[in-house]
Amino acid sequence: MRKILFGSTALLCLTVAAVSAQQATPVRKTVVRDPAFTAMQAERGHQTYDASCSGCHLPGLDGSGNPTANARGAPLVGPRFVQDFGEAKVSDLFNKMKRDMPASKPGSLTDQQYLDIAAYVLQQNKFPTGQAELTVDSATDVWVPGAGGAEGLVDYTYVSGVGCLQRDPSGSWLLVKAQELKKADVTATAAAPAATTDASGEYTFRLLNAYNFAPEPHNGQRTRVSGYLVRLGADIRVNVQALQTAGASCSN
Amino acid sequence: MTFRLSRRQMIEAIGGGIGVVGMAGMWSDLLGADLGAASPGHYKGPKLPAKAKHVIMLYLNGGPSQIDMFDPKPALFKYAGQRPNAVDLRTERTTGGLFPSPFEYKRYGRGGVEVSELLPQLGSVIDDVTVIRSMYTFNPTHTPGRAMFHTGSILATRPSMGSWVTYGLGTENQNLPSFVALGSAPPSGPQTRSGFLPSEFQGIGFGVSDPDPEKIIPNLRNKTLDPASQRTDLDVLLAMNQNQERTFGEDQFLEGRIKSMETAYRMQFEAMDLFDIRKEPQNIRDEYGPTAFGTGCLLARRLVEAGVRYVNVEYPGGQSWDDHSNINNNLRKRCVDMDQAAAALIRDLKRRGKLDETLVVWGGEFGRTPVSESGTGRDHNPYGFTMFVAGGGFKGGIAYGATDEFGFKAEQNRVSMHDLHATLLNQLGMDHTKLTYKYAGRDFRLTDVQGEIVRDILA
Repeated sequence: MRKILFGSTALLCLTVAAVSAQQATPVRKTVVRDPAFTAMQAERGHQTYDASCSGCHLPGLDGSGNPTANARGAPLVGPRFVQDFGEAKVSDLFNKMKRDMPASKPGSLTDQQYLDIAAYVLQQNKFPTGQAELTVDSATDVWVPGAGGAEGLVDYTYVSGVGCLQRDPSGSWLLVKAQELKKADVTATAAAPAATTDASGEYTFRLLNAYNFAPEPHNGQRTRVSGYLVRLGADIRVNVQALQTAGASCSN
Repeated sequence: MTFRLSRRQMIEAIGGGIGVVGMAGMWSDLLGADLGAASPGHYKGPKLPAKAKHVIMLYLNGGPSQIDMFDPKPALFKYAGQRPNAVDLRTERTTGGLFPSPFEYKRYGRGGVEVSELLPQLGSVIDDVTVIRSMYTFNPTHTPGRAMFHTGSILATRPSMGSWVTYGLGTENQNLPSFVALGSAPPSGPQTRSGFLPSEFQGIGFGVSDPDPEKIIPNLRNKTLDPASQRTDLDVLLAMNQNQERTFGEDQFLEGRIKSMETAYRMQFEAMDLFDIRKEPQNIRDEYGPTAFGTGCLLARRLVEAGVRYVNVEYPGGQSWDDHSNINNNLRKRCVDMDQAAAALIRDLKRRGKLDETLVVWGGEFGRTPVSESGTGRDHNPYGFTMFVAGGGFKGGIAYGATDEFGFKAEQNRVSMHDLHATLLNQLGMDHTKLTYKYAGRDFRLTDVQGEIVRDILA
């Protein structure tokens, strides 16, 4: 799910968090879908991009992520874009471009050209177009969404979700092909048996502290993970409190 | 005034005094051939079985966050934003509720030591590392904290551990300073201070932000005088200084300056090559990384191999690790090169058979709080924090001690800075209670009147 975030709704979350903390603790902004640039602006950006950026980032914006090209620029589409700019303001993207790009002559384009390129990059990442152009001012209010999978939930919410438990080559425990995380009852989850399900989802969550819950028997199995939600950049993570078998092996 | 036959007096006696300084220079060079190799130290206590001969102190100025790097505390999630009584401790600044670390921990090595995702390279060498999770000190402010870390006292007058170690053990190579401090700018203060110890034991600071040795040691190479002419000049200066002492009495600060000039003269012949890390194979330079900290760590290895006794490597940028705000993003950026270079140093020393005789110590003046500051940062925490030691007869592959369930206070097997200093001196073959210097009418120690050797972490 792709969404543009607006800072105004973050105020609500901050207010909620203040109830439980003597001082503000990091919280997630509530997400709101809304267009932030026009199709015409993206088209102008396309032309400027082709002239000034595509040499390093490639015409398809896949940059160094393209295994057949020897590109110097980072990918500007797909997971890498979410990793680099997820949970950041669009103005961060604009400012980075203005400060560092083009690599051969940083800052050599006009503000309008940088904004147009930002609009084009957002369009290529499937963000919706609208009736108003992206401006220097509006870019500071618009957020690039993260990876998704826990919309509307603030950090440290107790959540639960089902997916395939998997250990990656680096030793990290992940919940892959997972459904969206839902708020859960911290007292009920550990005791109740997990409902079995074969449904699979599109999300991946990194699991913290999983090694303290004997995860090996669940490796490759559909598993319900319960724990506390926390975000790091675009990553959504769960500090594990319980692992429960929730269906057949993922290979089935 | 005490009588002793100094090297200069010997030169003068043989050469006939200031009128024949050219001859004196010749004798000086001949004597230098003996003196250049090593110089004994002043430690008079029982000779303990020394495991190590050198120390490399990796200093993370500002107070690195133990909770995000070496001390996992999953309980923080359950109480996120809350402030239970157990964490209601006085801090330097106003703090809020408990602030969980978002970083993933993994178990590394034969002991399954938990290390954060911020430090994968250090995780890979954890079997050579002893993580001490129960360090504590008592001052929450940087300047006295730094002094405590390096000198064992919060006072801004006491000698650095590097000075104590070189005072006790002497040097292995008189062509080089015995105590060196590296940083993006030449470090000073408690990192190099000799205090009341003779000034020849002062640490010499070098800035390593540019690996060009001409930039690290500017003006070392004399572009106008050849070595023989410099020697003649220096001998004239030596004779004048000697005359000064003969007239006005022995002056340890003048002695220190004389020895510094001698060392600087001798460094010309060895230091330029030694300080040039560009002479290292590219794969080794790549292993350490192209940053100032990488340069510092690689240079530290070269220096201890050449006989330098104590090298302090400060992470560049001043109080870099003082993360009062935006700590998660800052750590993700800053840990990359620190992790790479620190791990490369341990790996490289081991590969070259030098880790057993070198103590690699890592840490800062305190840690950081498990409660938040400003919502995105952590305040100073002297109550409990993490340091690590590698090589030099430490067990490796273990995590020693523990903080409370939130990572605020050291609770199990608490280790003070004096305890750590005592343990490090023990590994260098010195009884910390016997490494003393008489000043102002009494004996002083690095460990003051405290310090217990932490034997549980020794191999």
